[in-house]
Amino acid sequence: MYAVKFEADVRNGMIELPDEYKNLESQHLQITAIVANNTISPKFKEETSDTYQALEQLNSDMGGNEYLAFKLKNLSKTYSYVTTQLDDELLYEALKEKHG
Amino acid sequence: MVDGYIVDVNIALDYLLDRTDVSPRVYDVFLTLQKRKLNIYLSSSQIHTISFIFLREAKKSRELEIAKNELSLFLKQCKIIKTPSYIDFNNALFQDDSEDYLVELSAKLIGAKIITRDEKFLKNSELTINVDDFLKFQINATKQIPFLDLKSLNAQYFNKYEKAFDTVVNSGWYIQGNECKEFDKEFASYCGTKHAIGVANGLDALILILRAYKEMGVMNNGDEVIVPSNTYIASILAISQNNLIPVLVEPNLETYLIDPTKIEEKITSKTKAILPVHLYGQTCEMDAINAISNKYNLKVIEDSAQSHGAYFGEKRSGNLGDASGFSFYPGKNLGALGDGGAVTTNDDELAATIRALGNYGSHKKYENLYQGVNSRLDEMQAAMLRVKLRYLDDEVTKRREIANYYLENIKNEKIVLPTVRAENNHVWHLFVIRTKERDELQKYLSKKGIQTLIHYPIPPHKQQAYQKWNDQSYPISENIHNNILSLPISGVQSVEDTHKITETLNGY
Repeated sequence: MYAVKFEADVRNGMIELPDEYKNLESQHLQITAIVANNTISPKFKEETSDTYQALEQLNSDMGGNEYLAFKLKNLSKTYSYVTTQLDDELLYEALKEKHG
Repeated sequence: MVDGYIVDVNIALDYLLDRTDVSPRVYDVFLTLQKRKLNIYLSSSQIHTISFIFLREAKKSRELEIAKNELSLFLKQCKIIKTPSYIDFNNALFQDDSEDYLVELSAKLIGAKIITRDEKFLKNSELTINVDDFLKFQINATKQIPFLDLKSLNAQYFNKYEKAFDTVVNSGWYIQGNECKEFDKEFASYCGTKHAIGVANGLDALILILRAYKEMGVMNNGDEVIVPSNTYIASILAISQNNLIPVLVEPNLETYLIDPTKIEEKITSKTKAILPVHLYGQTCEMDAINAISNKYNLKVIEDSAQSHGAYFGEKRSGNLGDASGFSFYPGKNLGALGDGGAVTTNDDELAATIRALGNYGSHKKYENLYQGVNSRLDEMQAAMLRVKLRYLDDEVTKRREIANYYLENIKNEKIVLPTVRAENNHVWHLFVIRTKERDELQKYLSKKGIQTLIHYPIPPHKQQAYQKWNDQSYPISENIHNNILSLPISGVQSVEDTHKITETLNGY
């Protein structure tokens, strides 16, 4: 995957590709939009997950922590982890990925 | 004393991946470890597992480079302890789960427990503790403040010690090797002297200086050496063991150090040296002492056993007289992991004589100039001291911060605080207060969980070893020995502990 950057207006629910990116026509894209604050409706504002809030609280309780500060800066505010596998299974898969 | 916990792989991953769905109290664990100033230990055997699983899972939600940085920052907060190679392959835990066995082996090494939520591990190892029990134990734990937490102090350097140990063991050279040579150079450079000669301990350092002066014809049996009456007995033993006569001079009550105004009255035709002791870490009034030594042509031999790094003017302890003896006893600001000592001097002949005397009197292999002794700094201790020397100034800075806090905030009319002439004169090996209610205060502090010690309870002239002096009177020394109490102070003492000690003293 690679990323491209351009500015566009939304009209009738459609984003028009600039001429230099017409080659993306009919391809599947993942879109991240940067929106001016004053134009966004409150109901579309990014929600903050319980995990993110708990990490903020922990960082505050610890009086500022280098590891947590870095994590909070880079982690999506909606991040949360759902455990679906045991550690042994995860390790097995990770080792298999490395050693074949 | 518990100074930290190993976190098992599952707990580390719960924290790194925020697996609060299966480990809802994981943040409390790390918050408690931080608040209680407990080390987060990881066995080196755990790192690859944590790393593999974390990076594999984390890259689903963030860039791999971000995840790698997160992992590095987490690991930086942990103290990594080695995984021993002495493995018992018949051990039941090893046979059941070699990973758990290796973690337990690391835990045994440092006397730590392992926080885990692995039910099998909890069942199979007595060193494990689950999250709920850990949190319950920590809430109820009454924190004791040790006088000096040597284990935590040295835990700061575990990894560097390990490297130093491996270097020596694998060098195949265990006496007077490269580590000793380099330490001598580095310590001389630190003190600002031409020479440093590693010896077996601090007492030997002083003994060898005096012995060398005898071999050089500077002193003879029966000559007198002036020494403070308020000192640890080693300063005096070094003199008498050389068949020289210790002449005791009273200290200044405020600084606890030899009073230069009382020296001249003790000088006779037999006096050959003054041996000032930089007691508790503060340098003596060396300008006055050196002026007297110049006037009477005396040698000045510093006892720097407690004053590593202390200044007087522009020069450091060890470079303030003709020669100086250092101790590296483990509790010293620069302490080895056993006995050790050194002599510093700018005198080439003295340095060569001491080096020979400490090595069976030999200046050249199998040729002996003197009837010497075996008193050499151990190669392994030299390697450990080289690690710690790099951090000595940091240790002193932390001690000064604590001492300054005590000096500014202990306010109790029953307590007399130590007097400091200039901040860089003192390295605070000991913070010694005086009170007429010493024994009561010590019991009170003990009940509040604060350990104190007395340096020293009996003055040298009242010791059985010097019975001929027992009837003599040194009232200032006796006053000091009867009233002093040493408060906890060290580079690993927390701000909270310093505050608690201060508040407790103010509440007495």
